[in-house]
This record gives sequence, C-alpha cells and structure tokens, in this order.
Amino acid sequence: MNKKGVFFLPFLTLALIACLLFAYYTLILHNENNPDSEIGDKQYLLYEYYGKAENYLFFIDVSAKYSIEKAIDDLNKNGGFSEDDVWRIGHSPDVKEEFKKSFNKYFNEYMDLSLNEKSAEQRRTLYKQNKNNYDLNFESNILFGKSNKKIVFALSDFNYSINSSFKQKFNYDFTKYDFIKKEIEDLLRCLENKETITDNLIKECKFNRIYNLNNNILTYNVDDIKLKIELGKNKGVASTEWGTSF
Amino acid sequence: MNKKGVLGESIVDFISIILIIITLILFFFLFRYNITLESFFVDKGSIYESEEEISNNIMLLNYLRTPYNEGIIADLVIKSIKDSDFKELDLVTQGIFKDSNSCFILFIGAGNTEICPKKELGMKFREFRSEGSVLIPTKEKNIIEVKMLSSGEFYE
Repeated sequence: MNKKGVFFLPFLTLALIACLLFAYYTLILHNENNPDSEIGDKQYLLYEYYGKAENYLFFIDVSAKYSIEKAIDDLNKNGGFSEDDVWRIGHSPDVKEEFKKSFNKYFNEYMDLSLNEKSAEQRRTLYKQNKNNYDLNFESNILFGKSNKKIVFALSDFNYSINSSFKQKFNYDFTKYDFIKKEIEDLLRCLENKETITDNLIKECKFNRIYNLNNNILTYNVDDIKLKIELGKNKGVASTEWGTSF
Repeated sequence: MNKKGVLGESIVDFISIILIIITLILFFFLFRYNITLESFFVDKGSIYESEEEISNNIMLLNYLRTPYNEGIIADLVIKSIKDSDFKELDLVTQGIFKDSNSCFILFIGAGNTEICPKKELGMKFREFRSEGSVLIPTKEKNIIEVKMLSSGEFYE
C-alpha cells in the first residue's frame, strides 16, 4: 500500500467529524433564525401588533370625538374663539382655525392620559407620536385627521408602523358665524366713534337682540353661542381696517 | 512490506471505519433529537391560543364600535358606569352576542356580565382562557378598561 494511503481513512474520519460538528453548531446550536421558536412566530407577532394598533386607533377615534365636543363647547362659550376673548374692530375669530386650535389642545390632553398607563410602550406610541401629529381637514360636517408621521411600534426584529387617521361626524354649523360677523360688523360700524355706549345708541343701530351692556362690553347669545363685543372707540385701531378684519 | 506494517494499517483502517460509523450514528441521533425537540416546541395549542387571544381583542373592539342609538356601544359603556345602571347595556350586549358559539365574560367597571347564548341548549363550552382588553377615554378624561374573557366554541 502507498504510504499516503495509510492516512486517507483517518483524515477522512476527522474531516467528517469536523463537517458534522460544524453543521451541528450552525444548524442546531447557533441557529439565530429558529432556535426554539415556534412556526409563524413573526407572523403572529405581526398579527398581535395589528390588534394593538387597532386598540390605539380606537383610543384615538374616541379621543377625537370628545375633543370635537369640547372644542365646540369652547367656541360656543367664547363666541367663536378657542379661549375667552372679545370681538372688536380688527379682531374677529377665524372660527375653523380656532376650532382646530381648541381641538388640538384637548386631543393632546387625551394623549397625555396615556401617561397614566402602566405600559411604557403605550406611553411611547400614544403620547410621543400622536401629539401634534395630525393634519385636520373639514368636509361638510366631517372632521378628517391624518397623521403626518407614521406611528411606529418598535419591535426587536422589525418595526410595525401604521398611518393613523380618524374621521368623525359632528353637528356644528360654522356658517352661522357668517351671519354673526355681519351683524356685529354693522353694530361696530354704527357705534365706531362713540365714547360711551348707551341702550339708546344701540337701539338707534337697530340691534334687536336681548343683550347685556357693561363698560362698553356688550354680551348676547345667538342660539348656544355666547358673544362678547367691545363697543365704542377702538383702542388704536383705525376705522379704515374695516373690511379687511372681517 | 513487512507484516507489522500491514497489520498496523489494517488496525488504523478498522478504527477509522468504526469511528466513522460511531460518528454517523451519533450525529444522526444528535440531529434527529434536536429536530424532534424543535418540532416538539411547535406547540399547536399555543398557536391556537395566541390566535384566539388576538381575535378576542378584535371581537371586543368590534363590540365597542357597534353603532347604538346615535353613538357606539363604548358610549353606552361610559354612560352605564357613570349612572351605575347596567340594565340597558346588558340587554343590548346579550342581543349582540346572541348568535355566538362561544361564552364570554365582560368586565366593565367594577361589575361583570356573563354571556353564554347557547348554554341553555345543553351544549358544553370550553374553559375561559383568552382575554382581550381595550381602553376607552371618557369626556371627563378618565380611562375605562373593558376586558373580555372568552371560552372556545361550544361542542356537543
């Protein structure tokens, strides 16, 4: 027998053992993809997060609904403004913008509610990602909110992200303010240069509503809307601003 | 070639062949054992449960989103807790789940309601096991948690 042939079988044995050990290590002991995992783990994780995302979307939907109700209350209470304010020459509310301002304030407060939740994940997703993250658009009596950025659930192997949005019907007639603006504009024009406002002066302006007058501040209601108007000579606002201010 | 050399080579060959056979058998069982063990981990029961748990959550959400009067059931849940009167909610809920083949326990506020529409038909149902949980914000800025335990489907 050739001397080289003497070592063939032992080498073959060692090579075989080495190959099997390597295969055992990579396939069984060190298999990152599937060590002890179950079939469809990632798929179920995806499905699980789909369920969680639905929970968040439901929370957002309900939050949006109550934020709308509260924003409408604010508009009614403050005469079209989001906060306590008065109508005067050169100062009237852009009602839809005021509504959005008020809505965002309440919606963010709802997102802050999640701070009380035990889950850090919920805090991360709801609080950080949803706050000031929505473009608001009106279409007749429906408010559409669409998130600017995707809401991301950071998982160990992958990120699950959703485009959050909501659609809420509401019953509020913004066009009422067109009529109110016209009425207030007429009254303010009529009393523009008067130092002290009296009931007689108001009557002369053909203002026929039930009102309350106190220190040149006239308050009255149109349906549920409480209006507050500063009458008389306006502080520093030139009368030529009429027309552009409304 | 001397006889000792031939004998030595034969012994080495013999040992090698034995070693190859032992190695192959050993690794066959090693692989087989692990593959079997891995297969063992793929527990059909646990897959079934996790699927049911997620479905349960979706079912709870669908229940809360069900339109009722001018709102949704979630509004009725909030109203019921506020007024501490669950009669209307109970009635509506029984109606919603009347065709279901499972039993449910709804935990709303401090109370709970069992809904088991086909219990009276003498059918048996599995143990309550999977749970869904949904948070509802209220106008007063509180959070109400509604939980639902569900059993598997009825069986004869």
